[in-house]
Amino acid sequence: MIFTPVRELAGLVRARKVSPVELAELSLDRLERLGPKYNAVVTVMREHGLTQARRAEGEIAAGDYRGPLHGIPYGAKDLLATAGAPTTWGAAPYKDQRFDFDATVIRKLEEAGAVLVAKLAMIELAGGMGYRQPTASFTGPCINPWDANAWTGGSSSGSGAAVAAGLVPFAIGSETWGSILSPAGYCGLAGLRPTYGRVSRHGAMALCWTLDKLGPLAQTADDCGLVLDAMAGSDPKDPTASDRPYRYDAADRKEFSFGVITNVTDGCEDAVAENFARSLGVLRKMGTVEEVTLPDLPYEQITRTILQVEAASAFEDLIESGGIAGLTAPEDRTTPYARDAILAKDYLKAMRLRGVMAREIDRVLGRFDALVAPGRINEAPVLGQEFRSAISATAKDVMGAVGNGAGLPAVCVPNGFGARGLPTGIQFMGRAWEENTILAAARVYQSLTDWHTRHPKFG
Amino acid sequence: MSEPVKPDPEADALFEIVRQRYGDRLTLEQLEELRKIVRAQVEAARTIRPVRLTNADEPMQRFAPYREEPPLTFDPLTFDPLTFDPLTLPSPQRGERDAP
Repeated sequence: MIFTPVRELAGLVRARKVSPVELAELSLDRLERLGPKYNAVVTVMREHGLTQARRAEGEIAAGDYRGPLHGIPYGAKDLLATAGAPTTWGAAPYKDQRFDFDATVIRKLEEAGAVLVAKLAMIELAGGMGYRQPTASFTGPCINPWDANAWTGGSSSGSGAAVAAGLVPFAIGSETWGSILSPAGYCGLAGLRPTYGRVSRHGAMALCWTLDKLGPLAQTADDCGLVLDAMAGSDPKDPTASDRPYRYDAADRKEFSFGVITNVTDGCEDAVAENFARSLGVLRKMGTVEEVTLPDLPYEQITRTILQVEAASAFEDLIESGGIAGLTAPEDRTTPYARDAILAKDYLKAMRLRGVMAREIDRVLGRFDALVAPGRINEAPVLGQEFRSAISATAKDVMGAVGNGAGLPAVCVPNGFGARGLPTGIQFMGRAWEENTILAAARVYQSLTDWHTRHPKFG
Repeated sequence: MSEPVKPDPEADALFEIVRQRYGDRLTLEQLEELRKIVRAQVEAARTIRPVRLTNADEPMQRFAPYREEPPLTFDPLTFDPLTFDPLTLPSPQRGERDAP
């Protein structure tokens, strides 16, 4: 059952060849036994999970089958409010925080019959304070199941580790800039960043109101579609959640048109560039691949300015009170103070330029089904070292800046291995609300490759 | 020996705000690190400022006047998507009670 995609598990559950209680027990045992090895888990929800699993089992036995997530265990990044467990936001100052309600996403997944078995580790405050090292979490650095000396990426670190290690079939993460695609890429998983507003943020920790998105990490792009189907939709409790209807469409599609930004592999490790070049060969079998140049705009500076200001405002109390001294990473204890020096006019300029950026990228994307690029510029960073990142302006990430700044969907799937034997990935980024298009492309790519069928032996 | 940092009056003035507000809780080393971060922020701003916009280029952030309309709780039996105005509702992160 370990590493079996959700779609296959769902078939087994529906046919009553596998019991939801069995699946929950398997996940709970692995979470308790292996979770600490990866620093992947904040809270194992044994009683809660078994209760939901028994309920699912009874409903399915009675012929009340809700759909492909019914009876499937999952973990949630610990920034989603859950009534039955602490919600720590990965940060020591909030380690005892409790909410008396469930985030909308948790509620929607419950309605789909999914079984919540764990709250998963994350970078403190979703990385918005300027962290530069894997240790920036009060639960310790998340360890990559592919290599005990490597990080999972972040900030949805536990979501990446838990799925990659086969502790849960899928997990929920969040992305403000890179926090789903990074752990998906580094851990050899599929990770979907939905369009901004596709999924309600009610009950999720706010880092940046205009950038935060919630999305799934799973074994395959197809699984991400199944999970998004249950998560998406309008929500009276979140005015930014769109009322555009969403239904995952898993129908086959044959011809695609892909764009590749000129010099998109500049700054990538050699193996990442080589794997991406090989991936383009696969994409040419799926359709056309055309090089494209983006209009000259300061994309990274625009998105970074918005992120820095909104995060500093969202955590104004913690910063001004000096409470950030209780954070784990030394840079998180001081960096936010510098954001008082960003002028309001510069923030508003970034917000005005964001409109220009959104229109320009939509014009470019209108010619393609997706822009494609390496998922990350490198293999997973080594534990105990500072890493380069676009948020701290030590690495380039135009795709991330554009995608997050303009609120566009992207899915990352594995496309090979690097020099250290760690996974690399390819991302497909689409126009707003085109999750089905990029998922279709990623699904076909996965049908032509077998990278997603390989799993870590560690653990 | 690290290279001496060139003066940057704007960045230095903005850094002074940070030092005034928080200097008493920071070491000299931390303050120097923050000075570098402020400089980087100013450099980022300098790439944004020269991009020309028209008068019609508004911030990409929706605003609408607020008016509380009871009931604020969602009732699936009475919910009408045609008349529903999401902007009369509280912020998405605020739940039944605020975080401590």
